[in-house]
Amino acid sequence: MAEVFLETERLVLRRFTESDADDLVALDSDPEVLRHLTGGVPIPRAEVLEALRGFVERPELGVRAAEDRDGAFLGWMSLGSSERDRAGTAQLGYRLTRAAWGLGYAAEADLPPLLGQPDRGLRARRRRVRRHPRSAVVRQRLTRVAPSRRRGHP
Amino acid sequence: MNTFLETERLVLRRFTESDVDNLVALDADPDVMRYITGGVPTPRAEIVDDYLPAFLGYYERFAGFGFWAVEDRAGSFLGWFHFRPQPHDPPNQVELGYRFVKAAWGLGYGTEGSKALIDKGFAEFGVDRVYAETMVVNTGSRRVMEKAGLRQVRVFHQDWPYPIEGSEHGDVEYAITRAEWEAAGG
Repeated sequence: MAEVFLETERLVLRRFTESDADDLVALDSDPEVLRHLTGGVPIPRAEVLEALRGFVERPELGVRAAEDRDGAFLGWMSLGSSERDRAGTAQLGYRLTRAAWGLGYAAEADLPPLLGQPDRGLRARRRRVRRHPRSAVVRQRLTRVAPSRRRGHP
Repeated sequence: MNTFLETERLVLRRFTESDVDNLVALDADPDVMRYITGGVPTPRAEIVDDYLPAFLGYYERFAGFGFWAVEDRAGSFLGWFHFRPQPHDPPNQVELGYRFVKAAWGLGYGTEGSKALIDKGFAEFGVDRVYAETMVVNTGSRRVMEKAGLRQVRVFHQDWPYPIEGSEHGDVEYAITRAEWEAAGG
């Protein structure tokens, strides 16, 4: 198994490897998963493989494969910042298979545990992020992405 | 007690702060929550901090719309109806909904209260259309909608925060317009 980056109660985040190609292509072929990304259009395999190469070869991007405790592929989660981000902020990202929706996985891989992991690639950003009061930015993003209303909600 | 409406067997009244336990118990039954959250109970904190304040807020904004606690004639808590425009609805479009403790299922309470609310809404509160939504597979709820005089208007698909068995079949909307209500005898 590839190098594990972080474990939570139900999740294992590990480095991507070339053998994740089929899982990643399947993820990026689901119209529901891509609904708000491409309008539901599957991402061509070649493009997915190119992205995978980046995930594998550039761990500093912070993109990790997410698995459940049985080793089933759930998608990916990431923490990183780029030039576009304001200094001291990092972006939490994730793309999960439909079967993994609504189970609280994205919230479970919260920023503080991510920050607690000794990872060379993230250390610089980690130091900056840590000054921020418990990552309000990330929490806002989580709320915006996940539908929060349910039937019968006032 | 602030009664809004009475029917033969039911009393619909305003919620109060002292209904927290009633609401927690209602939403703690996995069968009650089956088509709402897939069976997951609503946390007490959510009821205290989110649901109940929102229920009470409706009474400030509307005379005839909101969430109504349902009791039987002996004063037992049976559940609730909502009869209110959703935040994105105009005030003459009202969504009907209901949630009952399991012991109150199958007795026609849902139909009885729904009919009374619909009549009152059209007659007294300027409602032009009442609609209700549920999952396609929730046949019990759909039967109540039909018996209350609503008719199916569409099947649609939307995202919900919980995985629920049968959700792949989508959701269904039922409705009754003022014209239909009048044609049926008001």
